[in-house]
Amino acid sequence: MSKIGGEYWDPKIETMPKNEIKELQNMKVKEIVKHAYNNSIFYRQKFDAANVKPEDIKNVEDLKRIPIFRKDELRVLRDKTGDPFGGLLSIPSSEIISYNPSTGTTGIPTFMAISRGDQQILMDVFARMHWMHGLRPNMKVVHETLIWHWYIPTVITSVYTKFSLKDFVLAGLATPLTANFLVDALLKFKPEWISVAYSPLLAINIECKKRGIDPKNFCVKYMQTGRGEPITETIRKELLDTWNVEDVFDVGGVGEIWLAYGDCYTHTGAHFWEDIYHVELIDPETGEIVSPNERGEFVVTNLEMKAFPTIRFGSEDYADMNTEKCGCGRTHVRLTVYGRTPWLVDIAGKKIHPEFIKRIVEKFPETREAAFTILKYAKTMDKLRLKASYNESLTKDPEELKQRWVKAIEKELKIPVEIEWVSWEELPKIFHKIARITDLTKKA
Amino acid sequence: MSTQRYFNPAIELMERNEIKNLQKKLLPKMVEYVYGRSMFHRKIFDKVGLKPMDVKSLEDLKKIPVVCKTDLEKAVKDFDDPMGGRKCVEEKPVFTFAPEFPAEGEIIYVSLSFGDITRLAEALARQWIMVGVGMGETVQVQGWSWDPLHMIVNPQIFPPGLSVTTASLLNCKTIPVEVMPEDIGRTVFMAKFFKPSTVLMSRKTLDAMVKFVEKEGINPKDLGYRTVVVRESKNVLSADERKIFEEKLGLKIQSMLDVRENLFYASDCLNIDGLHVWEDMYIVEVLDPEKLESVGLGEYGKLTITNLFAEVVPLVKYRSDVDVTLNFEACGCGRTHVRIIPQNYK
Repeated sequence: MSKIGGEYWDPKIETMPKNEIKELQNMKVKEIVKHAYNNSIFYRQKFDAANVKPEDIKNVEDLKRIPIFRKDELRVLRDKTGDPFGGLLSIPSSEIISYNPSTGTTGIPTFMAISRGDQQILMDVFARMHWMHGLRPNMKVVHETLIWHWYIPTVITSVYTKFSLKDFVLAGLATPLTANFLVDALLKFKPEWISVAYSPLLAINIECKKRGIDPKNFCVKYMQTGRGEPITETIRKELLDTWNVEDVFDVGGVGEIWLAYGDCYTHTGAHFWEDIYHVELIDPETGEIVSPNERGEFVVTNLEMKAFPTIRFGSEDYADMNTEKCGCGRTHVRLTVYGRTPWLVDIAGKKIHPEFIKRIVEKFPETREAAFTILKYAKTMDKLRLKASYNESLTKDPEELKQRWVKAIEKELKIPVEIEWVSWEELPKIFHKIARITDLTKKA
Repeated sequence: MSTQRYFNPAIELMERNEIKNLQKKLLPKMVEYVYGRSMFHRKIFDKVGLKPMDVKSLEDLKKIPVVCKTDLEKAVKDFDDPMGGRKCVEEKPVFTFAPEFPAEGEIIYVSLSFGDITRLAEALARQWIMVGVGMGETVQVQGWSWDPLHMIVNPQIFPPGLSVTTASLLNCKTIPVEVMPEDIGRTVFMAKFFKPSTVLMSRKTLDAMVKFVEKEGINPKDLGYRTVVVRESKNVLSADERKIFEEKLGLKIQSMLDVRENLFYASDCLNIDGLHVWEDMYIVEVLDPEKLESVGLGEYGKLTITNLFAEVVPLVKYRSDVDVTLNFEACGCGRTHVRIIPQNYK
């Protein structure tokens, strides 16, 4: 267990007793609901249609009276009205300081706007999380990212200034073509703390192998990765081993609602800061809140941010929720996030998520990186078809490996499977992420 | 259109002799600063036996040895230091970037302190007003994380009193986008919705944009742009290229040059009559690449820049690869600072 446990950026908030968090939420929810209703056409119409008045929301439990909305609704409204924010913007446009697109992993990006006040709140979110992930003043940091990405550059660079770092290298996206630049920076600056998305990390690993560099020589102490690609226990152990870091942390988020979350050194789910984000798990089919210990889509109400209020936003992400106080002392709720609901495919009558496959195939040393894409050739399929790549130096007989994959997947998921080996470069990517679904039905 | 013509008229319209006097004061200070703090410069000065006290006036510039990119690269190895011994401050937090990635050779990193960011934010604010950006407008900025520009212009929040950015100085909103031809759709798509008055891009992405709007049947006028600023680090657009792009898009195209190793940014004004250099921040010379001496007025040579403001990695007498000539006459826009005329620019 890491030494950094038991220390917090904001101890008062992070270890606040559950009942106090609830009180704080109940106080904040009234304000934000009122703000949204009074300043956004989107919410006014939504509330009116559901026959809900802001005064009806007296605590977070009352939120369930408000219908859930998802990203697609914003896209539809945007196209219908020509308003880039679909009527959701709730502050005068003069207060906005920057416009950012969401990643657009599941389609055309939606837009976000941020105000100075909201940016301050996000800086808090990230400062708590980065501290939790081992970042301390006077460290040297390398942070890899895209320039338009929702938490860069207007937020994350600002966050780093809070820490008064010795040196901060902001690095561009690492792809197979650009990973060598990052490798150069890691070698020369010897950062103690790095943040690199998971797929770029794979590109760095490949570059290291090519150049005969052992990532251990980078002497990184703490690594923050993930960013939409959940870091499973297998992956975490692999990273700990290959990079010889003290700890590897998982970070995730939902751009549309300025949500960021990460795990602590106990690695028992991602902490959601409940003083800012209220979370519920719902059954995506019925919209009802699931019973405790059941998996569901997480729905978030942002209790603080005013530019773009999000009241009951359906994240389209599946998760488990743990409300117990964490071993690290933090009291805020923890979620284990599995992945995007739009990536669910229907195979032999079963709902299959790429994450299920990932967790099976990454156990094989030859495919620990779980580089694969599901070929979606029909809406309902009778067989799982995968394109995947394996580590060539570890694989003696690709055919034999294929047999082991088939056996394992068929055993765990009880569906027939067909695999085609391709190179890592041949796999489809959406920027830095491997596209888990290759939709062949759209091309037809 | 913007109503403000100058961001800092007191500086931008300074009399030429005042500019000279300012430079005369700043140069010896910078020379002393780098001699005392930059291992890179000390070594170079020592080699020719130059002491800071030998540099008292602008005339003494010619005593200072010229450095070029090869020297920076060599220093990375010689000092076994990613900054090649150029770093002048150890005690302050810095932000480090990699201006470009050469196909071979060492990467030349640059670092900025909060102070550097503030100075550059103002330099860029003067430029933005100069190319016609109005206060409070939206500007689309193509960049990538390795490049310091986004940190200087986009709306960061710095600890109180430490730094500002161009966007905050001009009360502008920005749309940060990737300077990547493959991602041009995102630039176009966001412009359609947010109608930025100005976009900063590169020759490659501009070319991609022309093709993209043609293919998609988008009228470039629908993107809201009034001005396209094309930023290049060596060859700014030639007059012919500019004309072709302007015809294809029906938009005004302006140029910006950045020699990032020395944190140098210059762009033209609406008259498109040379790139204005802020002489309170840089001394520029044009040197014969062989003899390393100043060429005659009106002759072309290599743009050589002495940085007068940077705290972390200032370079003195840095010879770039950009071929230019100088024009010291006051510009039609009223600005008195020297203009550089790149080759084929006019």
